[in-house]
Amino acid sequence: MKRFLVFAILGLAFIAADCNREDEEPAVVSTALVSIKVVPVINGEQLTMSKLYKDNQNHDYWFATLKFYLSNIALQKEDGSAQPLADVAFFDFEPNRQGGELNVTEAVSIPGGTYTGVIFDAGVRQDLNSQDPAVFDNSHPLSIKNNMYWTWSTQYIFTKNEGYVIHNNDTTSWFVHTGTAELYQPGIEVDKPAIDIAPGETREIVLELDLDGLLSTPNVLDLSVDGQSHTTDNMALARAYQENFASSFR
Amino acid sequence: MNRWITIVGLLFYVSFSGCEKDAAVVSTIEELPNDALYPIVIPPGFPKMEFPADNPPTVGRVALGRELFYEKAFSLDSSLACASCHLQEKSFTDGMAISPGVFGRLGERNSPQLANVAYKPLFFKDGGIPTLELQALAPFDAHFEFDLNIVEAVERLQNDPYYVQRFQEVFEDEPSVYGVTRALASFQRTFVSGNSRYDKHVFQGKNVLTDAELNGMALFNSEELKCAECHSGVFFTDYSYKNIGLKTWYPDSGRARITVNPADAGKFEVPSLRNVAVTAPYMFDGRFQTLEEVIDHFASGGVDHRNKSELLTGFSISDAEKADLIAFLNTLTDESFLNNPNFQKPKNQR
Repeated sequence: MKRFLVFAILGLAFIAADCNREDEEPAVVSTALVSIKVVPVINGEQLTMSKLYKDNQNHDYWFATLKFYLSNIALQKEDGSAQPLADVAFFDFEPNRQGGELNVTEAVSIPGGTYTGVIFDAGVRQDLNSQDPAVFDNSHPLSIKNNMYWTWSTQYIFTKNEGYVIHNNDTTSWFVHTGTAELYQPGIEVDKPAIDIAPGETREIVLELDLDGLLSTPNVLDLSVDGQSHTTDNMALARAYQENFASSFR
Repeated sequence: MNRWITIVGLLFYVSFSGCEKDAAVVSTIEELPNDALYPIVIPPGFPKMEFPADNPPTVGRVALGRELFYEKAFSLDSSLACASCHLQEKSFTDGMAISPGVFGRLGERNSPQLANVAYKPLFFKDGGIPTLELQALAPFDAHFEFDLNIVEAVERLQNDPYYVQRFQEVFEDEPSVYGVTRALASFQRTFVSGNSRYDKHVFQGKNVLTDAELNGMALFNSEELKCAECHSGVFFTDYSYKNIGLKTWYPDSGRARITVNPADAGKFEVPSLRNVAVTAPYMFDGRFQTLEEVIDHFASGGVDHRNKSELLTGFSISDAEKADLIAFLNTLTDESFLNNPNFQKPKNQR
């Protein structure tokens, strides 16, 4: 009986020691921290707000406000499936914004591996667009603090872009505020050369927003002639602008 | 003694929990606990009142909403409150064609009256807002109203120990956008107006209308004038949107601003006529100062517009008939509503 007890105690001690060795082994990291950064590009350089640029009609113009929402942001896997990154993200390139410009999504942990592109929708997806904004706290992308909500029609503004354009020595304001479920642009795909993300890595994947294309592709816009829309009061411009916006990411 | 307190003083309340054991005898609304349902009295002939599951009109929410309705810290320069453009004695209109916002900025539309807003299916004259809670957001960011993001307005409350305590009592939380919108909506749901002379005559079996008023009522309901085609039902509106030929072109496109349908251009909500005698000026832009002018407009058939209602065919009406029609419209005034002390600025409000 004594011998049995000795063996039992030795056995338990061995198991415990073995467990301790397992605990001491370094954890295998298989995930990486990934975020999406948007860089607006205009006339071949990174956008500076309030700086004069040439538009597609050779008018001088500038941006004073550049804000927008993207939804269902994901990385595309090699097999074509999606690795979600964010339900919705808010971008705001106002340099005087409290906390600085908001040009990058919150980093999330995803499996390391090879990805082939970024996919997203332009706008706020309908299940979120129909929410009461009072339920979102101030740090949420959909907080009403961001001034991106039409209280008069209870839905989010998808893009709020504003500035001035000079034509025939006249300086006029332009603004395009797009929104409504009709202008939601799903399924935008930006192909990238293979994005290899190593486990443990922190990676910022850059999307360029081509502001020249925003005025020209596929719809040619002249903001000095038709440059003001709150969507429902000038749906033609809002639709054309939103289509261009969706095709201006690289 | 107002009828609210009389009715409440008679019996008991049912607590928010619905537990019968919580029934208690009270004499005033103020004695009810914060989480008790506010005793909204539904007048004879009125439908049952519905409210959102997340915002039952409790005593606490209504009382806080009443304070917030009169709170000027909500506007950019702290000069305006909801009550600045919604005066109780005018059925919560303000007598202005277009109400000035901060710094005297003018919007585009006449202040709507708020009697019986709990029953409205949609809000704003174009119907762009589906709930009272969401409607409460609208004045904040409008440049010609408060011009202050509601988050910043709430931060003002968070810096005020009085409101920190009040929100704690009612919502068990700090001041928030959620709390502000729920409290304001709850207070407005108590704006029930159904005790006019018309109501006494029709729903309470009291023979109080004069021959002239009864003749006016007959004219109102007549096939020739067609008033009741749209101003129908217990609230004197079918809540539809109509173009009534006020303009040949509408810079404010009305319902079309929401639907983006050209067929809706120039259409605005058919307003309730309850308390209409005290809600001048009339129309979405406040263009008519008197009910006589309004009747003259409908008698003329209005100006041509592709979306003008087919009901606007014009009619002839004598001066005597017009006087009777106006006499009838005056019977829709509910003095007990216009003077209800429960809607007034709280006596201790700063």
